[in-house]
Amino acid sequence: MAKPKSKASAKPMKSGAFTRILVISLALAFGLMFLPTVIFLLFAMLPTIAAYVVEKKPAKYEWICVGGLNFAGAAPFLLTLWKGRHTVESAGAMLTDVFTLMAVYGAAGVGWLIFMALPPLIGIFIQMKAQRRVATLKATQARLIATWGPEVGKIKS
Amino acid sequence: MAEGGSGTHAEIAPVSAGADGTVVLRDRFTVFPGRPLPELDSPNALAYAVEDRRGGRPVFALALPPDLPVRLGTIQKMKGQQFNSLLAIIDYGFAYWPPVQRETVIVLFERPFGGRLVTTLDDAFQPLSDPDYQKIILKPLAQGMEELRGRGIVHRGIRPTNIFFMDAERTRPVFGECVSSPPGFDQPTLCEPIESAMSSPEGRGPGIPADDMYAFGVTLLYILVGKRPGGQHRGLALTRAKITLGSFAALTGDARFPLAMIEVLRGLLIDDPLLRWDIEAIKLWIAGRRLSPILAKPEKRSQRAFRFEGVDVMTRRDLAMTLADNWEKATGPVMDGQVEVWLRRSLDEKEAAEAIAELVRSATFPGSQNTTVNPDTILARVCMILDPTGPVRYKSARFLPEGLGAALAVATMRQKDVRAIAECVLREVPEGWFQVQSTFDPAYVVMMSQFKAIRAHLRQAQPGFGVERCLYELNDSLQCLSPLLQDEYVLEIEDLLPALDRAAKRVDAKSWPADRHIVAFVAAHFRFDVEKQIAALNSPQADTSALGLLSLLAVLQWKLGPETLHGLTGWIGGLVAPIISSYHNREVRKRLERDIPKLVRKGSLPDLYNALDDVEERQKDLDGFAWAKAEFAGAEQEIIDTEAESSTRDANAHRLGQQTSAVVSVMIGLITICVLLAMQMW
Repeated sequence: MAKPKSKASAKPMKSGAFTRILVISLALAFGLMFLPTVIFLLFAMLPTIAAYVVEKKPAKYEWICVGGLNFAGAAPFLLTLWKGRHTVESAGAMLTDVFTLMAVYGAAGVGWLIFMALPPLIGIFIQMKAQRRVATLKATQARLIATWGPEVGKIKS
Repeated sequence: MAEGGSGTHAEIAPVSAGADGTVVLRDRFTVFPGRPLPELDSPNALAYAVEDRRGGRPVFALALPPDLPVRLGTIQKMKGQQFNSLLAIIDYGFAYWPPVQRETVIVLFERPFGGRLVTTLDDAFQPLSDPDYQKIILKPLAQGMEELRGRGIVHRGIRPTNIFFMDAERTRPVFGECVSSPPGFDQPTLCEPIESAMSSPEGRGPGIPADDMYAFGVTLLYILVGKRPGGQHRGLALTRAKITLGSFAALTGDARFPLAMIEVLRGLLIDDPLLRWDIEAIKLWIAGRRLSPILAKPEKRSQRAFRFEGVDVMTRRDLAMTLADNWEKATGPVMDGQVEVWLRRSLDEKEAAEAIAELVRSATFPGSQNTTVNPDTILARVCMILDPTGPVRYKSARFLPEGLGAALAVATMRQKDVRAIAECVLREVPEGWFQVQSTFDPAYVVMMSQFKAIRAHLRQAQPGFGVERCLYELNDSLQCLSPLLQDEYVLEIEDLLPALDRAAKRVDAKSWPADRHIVAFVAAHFRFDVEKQIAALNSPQADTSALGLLSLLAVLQWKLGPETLHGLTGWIGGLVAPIISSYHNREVRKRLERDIPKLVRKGSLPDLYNALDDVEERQKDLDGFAWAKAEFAGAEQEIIDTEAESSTRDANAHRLGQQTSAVVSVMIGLITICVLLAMQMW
């Protein structure tokens, strides 16, 4: 009984490994073809990668938030790289430029700030909305008692 | 069952209060409470002097006792009629009478000047000669009997002490009044037929003309012999002697009187009312026609006496009377068969003996569940079997079936115990009386259905039913006995609301204007169905009860008037708080509270009722309240849910914030790229 089981489990394992190898091969090929861009993005998107690694929750939003602005900060420089000389040297020069790094990482920092500031703000907003609703309902109840008397609140058991 | 007045207040003389407490009837007759005429008093009514402003016939007044039912029907029949041998009623009215400090009936009679024949039955006098007797006594009094028959009146007050002479020479005798007490109430045992004499005075019923003929016979005998007939016998002993010997023999005894009168007296004093002489027979006799003598069938006597409580009983009727008079001890001899054996062996009354044996068997049968069969009812039924024509006997109650109303009324008005009477009716004892009658009378059918209705009322204890309802159902001319109207004399339903209107000024405003007597009076006298109003009045809920009260009185005012009742409306207006509170809507309550004083000023109970129980308004209130309750409950549930979701809401808000920030970030990124691309292209 053990033999067929091991045969059956070996098949998907083989296909999964093959796919992974295929993807890595294609990525490597792409990376080699666009190496300056890959090098630039690899270093420019470091905050996003860090955010992805650090976030342990099942629903990961932090890296998206950081990544969105991080990419927005990197985008002008990426276009400059593509429009100019698309070489590893050019990418390296950009990455060593303090202004470029400040712009790219600053944008990522803004994204981080948004991610930290927005949830509490929305929480306060929702809490206030709920409290206002409760206050409105209580006012309605008070109005009903004023019109119909306290027996309006008596619920038959 | 009891006599009722058919007239309305329009027939009652207008009464006004004169100076010095005098009462003026019809702006003509001044009655003087300070000038009593004791020689004209009735046993239960005092006589007073009267002055006729127009100078007509001499008149005196009887102030009827407020604690006895009035014979209003008889008063109305006799009022204004001319009689030769009856005390004529000139007029009557209701007035506040200072000696009794309340309203009562004042009846005006033609005043006799020859005084009373005798003041007590023990008075003795020299008998008249035969010609004088015929001329002065027999013929005028026989004419009086004919006058009674002609007007359809049963007098029930014919006795020697109630004969007056209209002239000072004492040649014109008349029968005295008969309206100051229930029929037969003032009659001594001497003047009553056996079955009526065995009843309590108040339970003798309206009677029949034959009862008057019997009393007439006793009166003739008394005048004939000049002393009380029946020798030394009084009360029960006299009744027992009448049973044993027959009334004629018991009353005449060894008295001496003209032989010619034997025939008359025998005919009038025969105990069987069907054989008793009527007025036609008397007239024929006076005209000279001699009838064949009637032989009274004596009561069957036993060979051996039934000894009970030291009394030797020889006849069935006597045994019934003796057993009933020793009620507590009488059950023994009945239940252990002594009575049955005596009937069977000593009287040879097998049929009666078998009936009693059957009754006893039904009571002692182990599986018997019939609540109407118990030793008391067995004893009552045994008494009926022994004496079928006798009264209904039950514990202390003794009444003829048609006398139930007066018996109940007198017991109530004189604060006697009515329990024995009520229990007797509830246990269906009177029905047994009808079952043992040997002759059928169509009136029995009516009476039986009336007893059935009365029993149904007695079985319900709520206001509008019970003993009070029976009182007014059985006594048409009984005034409302409500303590609220204790100074008033309310006989007609039309007078009730005006009397309550006056009462509103003197009673506690917080008291309820409809007690048991008032509700029962209305239920019995009002010709429209008010059962729903009474049912509402009896509700344990204060608002329904108050609405029932208002509705009942409003219907009365609507149907009977008067137009305005300011006092009563104000009184009721102070009691409608529970009705107002029955509305849920506070604004409606405030509006009604604002409107009530205006409605009270109008004095209209129907308007007050319509304002307080507007069907449309009430439905609107109920619907609105139901909506409000649902809305309140929904809000309550939402509040609970909102507060319960507080902890999960924080987590949700945090996740939402993260999602939002991610979306915002991606959007900024996309916009930036789009802008850059656009700048590059241009």
